[in-house]
Amino acid sequence: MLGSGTMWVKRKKISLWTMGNVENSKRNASDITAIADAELVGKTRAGDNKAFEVLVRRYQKLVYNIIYQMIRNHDSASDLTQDTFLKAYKALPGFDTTKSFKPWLLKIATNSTLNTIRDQKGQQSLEELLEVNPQAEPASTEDVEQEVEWRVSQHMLFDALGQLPIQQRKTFVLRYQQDLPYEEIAEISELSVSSVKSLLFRARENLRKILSEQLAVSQNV
Amino acid sequence: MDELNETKCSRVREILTEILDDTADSTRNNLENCTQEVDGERVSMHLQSCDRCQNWQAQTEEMVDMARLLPQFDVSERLTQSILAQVAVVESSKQQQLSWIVYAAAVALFLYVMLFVDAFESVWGIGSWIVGLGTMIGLKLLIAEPRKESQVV
Ligand SMILES: [Zn+2]
Repeated sequence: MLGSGTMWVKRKKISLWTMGNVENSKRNASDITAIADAELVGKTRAGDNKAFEVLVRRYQKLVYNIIYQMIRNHDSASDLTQDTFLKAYKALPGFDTTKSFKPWLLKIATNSTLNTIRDQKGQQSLEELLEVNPQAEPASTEDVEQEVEWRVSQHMLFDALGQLPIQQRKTFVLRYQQDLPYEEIAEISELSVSSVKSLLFRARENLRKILSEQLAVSQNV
Repeated sequence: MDELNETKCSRVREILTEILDDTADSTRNNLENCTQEVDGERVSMHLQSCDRCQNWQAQTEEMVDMARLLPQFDVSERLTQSILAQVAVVESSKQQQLSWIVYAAAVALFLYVMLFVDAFESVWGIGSWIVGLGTMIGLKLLIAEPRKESQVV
């Protein structure tokens, strides 16, 4: 009795693994990197770490660059990128599979980064940090439209972006550098689409003001 | 610029922003089709006659185009491997937790069979003993084997 029981267990095990191997080789023959996020999420939840590796490789550059634009430091960006994927992996069993993986992942990334920035700034409250930046108040039409020749370099835009309040900078980067649709940005930021648009408007006006001032200084002095 | 014109310009820019926000790639098309008016003047007509709004539009578009070209950094393989290594640590600690739960359940079943089912007093009792032992060995094999396999993969 004992003998046949073990045999049964073993046979079942073998057949399971054979199935697994056939599936693996089929997948390798086609292309695992072409599999959609949702399927990879499902496979990861079923214990297939190879599937999670594909997700890591698919999104690590996007995650890294968004975090980098927010925190502007490569070491911190590396740490936060690792942190993001680890948090995502741990939270994956509770992930709502009716939703998309990408905005969910980017929400983890940007929230972790905001928390880190808040910790670094110490006393300042997050709300203060997000919206109030005395150097980047919304532009009045008058001082933006000085008679400057408008030739902006990438370097200037990068610097000007660094002076924006973090929430505006994040939104600008998600929309224009990473080309994400408003709906996704709204999901990532837990805001309405119209709030995203108004953040973008303020970000662009502030950027124009900062760039105009920089141009005026470099052209007049 | 007088105040009246400034208000007009800012309203024109609001409309231009909506167009820009809607479909950044086909701004010009949409602008030509845009029939919206500000103080009885079509937005496209205002744009033709107002240098400031023309500048505003050109600057905004340039900024947006420039943002798409901002350099992006590649992620090193070292970082990828480090992420995957950390994930593997989480996974193995999860499996360890799981195996402890299975062990505990097996031991509890074994003790139950031994203490409460009149073990040793009948043939049936000895049968229970064997079933309990078999369950433990079976479960141990079941959880130990896939772990070995998953390390190879
Ligand atoms: Zn105007």
